[in-house]
Amino acid sequence: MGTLKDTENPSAGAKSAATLQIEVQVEDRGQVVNLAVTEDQANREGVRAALGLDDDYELFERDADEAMAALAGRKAVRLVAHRNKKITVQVRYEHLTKEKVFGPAKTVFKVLQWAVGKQGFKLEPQAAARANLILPGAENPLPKDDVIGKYSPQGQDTLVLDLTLRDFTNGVF
Amino acid sequence: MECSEPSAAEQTLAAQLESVLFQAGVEEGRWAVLRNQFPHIEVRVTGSDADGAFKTSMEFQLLCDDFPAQGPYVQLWDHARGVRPPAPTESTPGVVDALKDWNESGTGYGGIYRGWQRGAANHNNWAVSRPDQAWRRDRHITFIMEHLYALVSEHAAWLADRQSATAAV
Repeated sequence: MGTLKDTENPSAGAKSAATLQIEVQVEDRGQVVNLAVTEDQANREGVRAALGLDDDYELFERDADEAMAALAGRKAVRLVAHRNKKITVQVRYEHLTKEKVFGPAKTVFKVLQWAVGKQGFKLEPQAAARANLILPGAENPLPKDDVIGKYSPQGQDTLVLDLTLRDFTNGVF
Repeated sequence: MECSEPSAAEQTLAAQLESVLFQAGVEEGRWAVLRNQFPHIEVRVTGSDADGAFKTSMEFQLLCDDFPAQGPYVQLWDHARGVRPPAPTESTPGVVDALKDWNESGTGYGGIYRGWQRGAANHNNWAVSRPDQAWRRDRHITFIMEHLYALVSEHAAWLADRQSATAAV
């Protein structure tokens, strides 16, 4: 695996023919990992090996529900590595709960779009514009560009969120 | 003939446009650079409804002088004609509000009416009251692109709803 290199350490493998830049969010780890891989390693096995992950981890492109396909020909990709292949998201609003299954790479933004939309709580546009998703008991809403897998560690394949119209003006998030 | 060195602002922006974060958005089909002539860049942003089944695009111009000390000034743009098109009147209240014609303290059109946009950041102390939306010099250009993507996706969801309502009649 000598041609895989960490972009934070450009001196390592400087002569490699890396063609694909990858940013990977691994489950609920805080930091994302940046990798550069050659085209022949731009596949599940190559990326897993570079990250030191075993076969339990599936790789998803950001916002995709299905596992990643081949990455040949790509130049920049954001991936999520997760052991939960599906996450059941339960969103609570007033006295109702709506539920839908998503891949772990789905962004909070897309889940929120579903929750306020016609398949969710059918909020009026004014209310939808103020809506956020928040973990039960949390002070601040989830950042919309986070992926839901970040909040659903292995073995926890149901994620409960509250839909809130609270005003977070001056909030620290 | 002397070639002048690109400014620090131009170099910083160029590096961010080449970053994985920005290029992944290009490859995902969420945005494309139509023109890159510093300090202006023109982009096409493609948003979708919740299922990703319905997509629509809008074009924007970003003025990125003094980047990243100042966030971009952003306006809706017609790339082919090189002008700002009329403000849309049919969409969600949020999209119509963001893209409306408005005048910042007599200085002319103020750009997209959102706290993350340079021309609106000081309007009613917006950037102070919404620090989550405010530009900071440690932000990345994709911070703006993600906000534009959210705006266009909101419009896409509205168009999809309207289309299905029309089909049901």
